[in-house]
Amino acid sequence: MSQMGEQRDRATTEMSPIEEHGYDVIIQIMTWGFRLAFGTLGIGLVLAAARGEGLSTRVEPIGDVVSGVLDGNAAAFVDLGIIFLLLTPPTVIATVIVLFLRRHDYLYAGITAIVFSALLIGITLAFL
Amino acid sequence: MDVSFSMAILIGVVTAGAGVLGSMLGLGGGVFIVPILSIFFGIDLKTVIAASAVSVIANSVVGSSVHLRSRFTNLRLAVLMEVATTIGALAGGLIAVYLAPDALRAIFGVVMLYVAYAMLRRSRQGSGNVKHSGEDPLRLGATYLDPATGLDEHYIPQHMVLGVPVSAIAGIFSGLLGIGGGVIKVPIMNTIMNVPVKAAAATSTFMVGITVSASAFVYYSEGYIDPRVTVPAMLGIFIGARVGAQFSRRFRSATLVKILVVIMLYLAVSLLLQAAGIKVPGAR
Repeated sequence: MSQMGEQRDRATTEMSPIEEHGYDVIIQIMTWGFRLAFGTLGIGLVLAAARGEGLSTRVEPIGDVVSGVLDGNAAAFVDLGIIFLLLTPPTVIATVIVLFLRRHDYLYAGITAIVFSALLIGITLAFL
Repeated sequence: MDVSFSMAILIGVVTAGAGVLGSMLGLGGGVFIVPILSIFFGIDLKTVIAASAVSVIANSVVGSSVHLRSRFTNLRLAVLMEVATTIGALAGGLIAVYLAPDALRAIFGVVMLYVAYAMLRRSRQGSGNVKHSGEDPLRLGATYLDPATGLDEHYIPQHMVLGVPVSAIAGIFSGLLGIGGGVIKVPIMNTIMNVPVKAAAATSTFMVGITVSASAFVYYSEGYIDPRVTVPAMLGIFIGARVGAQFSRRFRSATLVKILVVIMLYLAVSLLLQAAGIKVPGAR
């Protein structure tokens, strides 16, 4: 129950400090994943506009993307930005596994690992 | 298919509009951009579905950060449902690769009809029978601060044996059609599992990015993610959703919902007509 006049932005919760910290880490990963994705995308778009280059017709295989980025290819930067965005949710899920393990919540660490395994199938299809 | 710079700009503008519409209905933009871009721009359906999937991920990553800060998101519930949803999305994505475009159009049209119906019903839905205390063997109970009341709301999700498998359906449609599936997940959580709407919506926002990423990797492996379409669509949806969130605070009304539902019905019927081989006016 909130006290009169007290401003709160979240519940007086039963969360442990580890869990609270875990939520904050997940938020940071999402934030930085988004910034990395859109930042890389932005670099690619600026390069493409400055050089009058077009974008690729499909996001290339990761090996070609990496070599393209090293060559300063604008389309490769855009492709890499999209790949970073796709990789953000699996990174979040991996973090959630660590969060549950730190809390010794092995049941939900195991459940989350099943989710991560399903994502790994898709990632394997994409990168092999 | 040639995508000129002016066409890319137009895609961005149209998808921004779709993002505004979707956001005002509490949806992602996928339900609008897939039919609009495929019917009226003549872009390959699977390319548009892939673009929609990437856009959903972008929206989910940003949107769920907000809910996580407020602790509306129920992480345990999310990962438990994601077991079924992610597997469903992976299956849906693999099926979509091999399914004929007309079959995908027909499925999307039917799903849009359901979404339109769900939007009309939403205002009449109750808040479910929320359980605030009692046994919680799966430790799914959570608490959030309700800004409307200033009070802590504690709830314990129910009927997981039914809710989790049913959420696989949301995953399959998400993978098939490149949509987030929130319009299916939120009612599942609210009406079957008795989760309060705020927590259900927040948990769903967190889930949709993970769900869609499963199928997005399938689209990537098959070469369906075309940056010339995906980038303007992603940017358009992202900007539109932020603008729409501002509009919806000021202009939300039953009449507006009905107008948007009519647009949705028009797009649904257009998809179904195309699937049947009937030319739709204005379609490419």
